[in-house]
Amino acid sequence: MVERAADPLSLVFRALGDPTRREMVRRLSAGERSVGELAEPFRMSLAAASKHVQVLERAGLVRRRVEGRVHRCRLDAERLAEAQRWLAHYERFWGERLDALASLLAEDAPDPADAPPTDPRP
Amino acid sequence: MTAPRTVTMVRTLAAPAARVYAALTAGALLARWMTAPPYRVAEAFTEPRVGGAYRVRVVGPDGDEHLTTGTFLELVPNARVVQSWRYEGSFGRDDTPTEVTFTLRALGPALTELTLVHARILPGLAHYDHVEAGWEECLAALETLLDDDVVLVRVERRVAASPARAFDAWTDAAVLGRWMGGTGELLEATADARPGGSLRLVVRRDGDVVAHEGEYVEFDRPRRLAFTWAIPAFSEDRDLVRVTFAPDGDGCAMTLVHRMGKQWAEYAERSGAAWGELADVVAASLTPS
Repeated sequence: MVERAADPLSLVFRALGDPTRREMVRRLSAGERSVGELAEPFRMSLAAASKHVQVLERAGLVRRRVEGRVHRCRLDAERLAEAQRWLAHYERFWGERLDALASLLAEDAPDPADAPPTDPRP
Repeated sequence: MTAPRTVTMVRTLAAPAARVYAALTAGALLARWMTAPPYRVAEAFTEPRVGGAYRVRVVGPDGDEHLTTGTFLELVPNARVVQSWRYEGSFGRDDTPTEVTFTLRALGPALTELTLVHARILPGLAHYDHVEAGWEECLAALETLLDDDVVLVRVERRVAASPARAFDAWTDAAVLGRWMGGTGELLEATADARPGGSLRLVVRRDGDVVAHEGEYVEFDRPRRLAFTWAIPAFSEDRDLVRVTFAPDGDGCAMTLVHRMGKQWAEYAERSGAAWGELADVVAASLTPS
C-alpha cells in the first residue's frame, strides 16, 4: 500500500501548489531563463520573483547560477519526474486494487460463502 | 396548499473550511462555481456581513438570464452561512424568498464536509423544478474550483457487476478483505457501512504492519461513495477517496478519485491552473531540447 509521502516530495508539491510557480516551471521547461525574464509575465518585482525561485530551488526543482549581475535559472527535471512517479505510484496502487475488485466481481459470486478458495490475487 | 419542499445535499471537499467559506461568500470566487457551462456568471456581488446583499446573475447560451438575490442572515466564519434566496429570470419570478443554509464541518486540516439545505421551496415558485439539478452542477463546479489546490489521482475501471454489487464490495468487510489487501497479508478488515462509520484495514507487508483508517463521509448507494483515507502511523494527513458507480451495459463503470489535501492549506487562498498540468510540464521538460 502507499506507505508514506517522502519529505522532499512534499517540498515539490508545496512549491508547485502555487500557480505563479507552476507557470515559472512551465516556462523553464522551454529552456534557461533569468529571474527578470521569469518575473515579466506576472508584473512582479525582481525581489518577489526571486522569492518564488528560492522556493523552487529549495524543492530541488530549479538550479540557479549567477552570471555577473544576472541570475540564470534552469529546471531540474529529475525532481519533477520523481513527483510524477509518486503520483504514478498512487495510480498503480488503486489500479491494482480495482483490477482485483473487477476479477472478484467477475467470478459472479454474490454470496462470499460460495466464493472459490483461490484468491484472485497472489 | 402543499407543504414547502426542502433540498439537502452533502459533499465532502478536499479543502480547508476557510477556503470553502471564502468560496461561499466572496463574489470573485462565487463567480467561478455558481453555474456550469454553457452558462456563465455575468455578475457576482456580495456584502459578506449580516444584512449584507447577495446577487449572482447567470447568463445562458441563448441570452437567457437567471438572477438570484438575497441577504446574508447569519455568517459564522468557516462554519455556517444562512441567506435568503430569491430567483428571478427566464423561469419566472419568485414572489416569496427561499432560504439557503451552508454548514461546514472540518474533517481534517484540508477536508471539509459541506451540507447545503435549501428550504421553503414552495410549489409554484419559478425555479421549483430546477433546484436539485442546479445545485448538482454548482457543487460539481465548486469541487473543480477547489481542486486547484489539490493533488489528485483518478483511476477508472469497468466491472462486470451491477452498481449495487460493486458499491457493496466497498462497504462489506468480508468482501473488502478479499481484494483490498493487495499483495500483502490482510490481518484485519472492518467496515461500519454508514455515513460517519469507520473503515479499517491492517496489512502486513515485508514484515511491516500498516493500519489504514478512514471514515465513510458520503454514502449514496449505489451511485457514490466517499471515505477519508489515512495512515496514522506515518502522517496526520487525511486524504479523500470518492468512488462513483455508473451503469454501463450489464456492468458498471467505476471512477475513483483520490484527493490528497496534505499541506495545501497554507496556499488555500491561491488559485490557478489545475494540477493535471503537472504531467504536461514533466513531459515537456523531459523532452530533449
